[in-house]
Amino acid sequence: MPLNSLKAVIARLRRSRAARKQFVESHLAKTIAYQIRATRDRLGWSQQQLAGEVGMNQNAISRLESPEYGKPTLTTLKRLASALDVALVVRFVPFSELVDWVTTTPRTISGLSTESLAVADFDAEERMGVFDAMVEQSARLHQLTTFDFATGALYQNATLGEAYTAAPDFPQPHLVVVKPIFGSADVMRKQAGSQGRYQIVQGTAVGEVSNG
Amino acid sequence: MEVIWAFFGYETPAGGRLVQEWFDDLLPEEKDEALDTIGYLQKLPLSLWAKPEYEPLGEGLSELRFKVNVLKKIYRIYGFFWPPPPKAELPGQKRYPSYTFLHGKLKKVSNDKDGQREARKRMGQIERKEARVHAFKFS
Repeated sequence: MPLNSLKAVIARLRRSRAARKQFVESHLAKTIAYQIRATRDRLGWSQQQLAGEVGMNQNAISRLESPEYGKPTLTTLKRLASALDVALVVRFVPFSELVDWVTTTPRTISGLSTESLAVADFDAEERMGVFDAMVEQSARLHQLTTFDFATGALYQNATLGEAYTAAPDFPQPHLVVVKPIFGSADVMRKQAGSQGRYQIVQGTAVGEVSNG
Repeated sequence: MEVIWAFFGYETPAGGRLVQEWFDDLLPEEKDEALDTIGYLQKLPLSLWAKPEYEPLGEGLSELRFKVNVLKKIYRIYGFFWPPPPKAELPGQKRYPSYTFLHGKLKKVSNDKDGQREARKRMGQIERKEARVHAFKFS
């Protein structure tokens, strides 16, 4: 579960143009830095090895992997992409697409189209009701029943936080699962335990968690 | 493999959620940057947590850092890896690594002895079960 709720991210963007600028800059810096770090790690390469492949020194790679210090040029990014043998996409997108990325919301991208070339700005998306529709869809998702795996309690229309605080006597934070509303806690416990047909949205299994 | 960290906050024996209260009182710009930084760390394995946003401080204590460019300020959140993972995985369950925030503050000095002392005190309380942790709310 992303830390940022979709509603909170959209509220942030609606705050001001400066907030939107900061949002873009923050995610651009972090995405590139962490992608380089994680992709290099996936290949089992050290910073030194990647530096050798790109034709840079290790300090330069270290700076590129830091969201605070890395200021890569397009040329550098292309060299990195080639060294890592991955594709590189640099393009403008509507804010709604970045919101989906940040909140881990699946999205169908229209691909190369007239619409994607003439990118809708924030106000245009706002006028089209894009953000209101996203918030509405997200709210529908939250109307699922939250099932507390540890205590067996069901919380209709509860959010994850409410589910945690609704069980104050449980010694530690614990797993919470979410399913569409159907059946009783026992049914859900049985299905979750025996078939694993549930979606864990957040949480940690700590101590003795009963599996029913 | 998908990595999703779970974050918790220190809770005093009397129920005070000190880090949560500190976080809730941050300015919107400060919260934004904290969320952005922690949001990415949440998806990375520990082996990829590195400076400047993460630094181990020894004896289990570590700190997360986030820089708010518009305010030219750096903040630090002391924490440790807690609660520990379960001994065995239950059928259909995944293990989620956890990190508990102990103490948050504005970075004023590079070697913040007072902050670290307070964080270590709280860490000890949690380990001895004299204090609890709660699920941290980011928004």
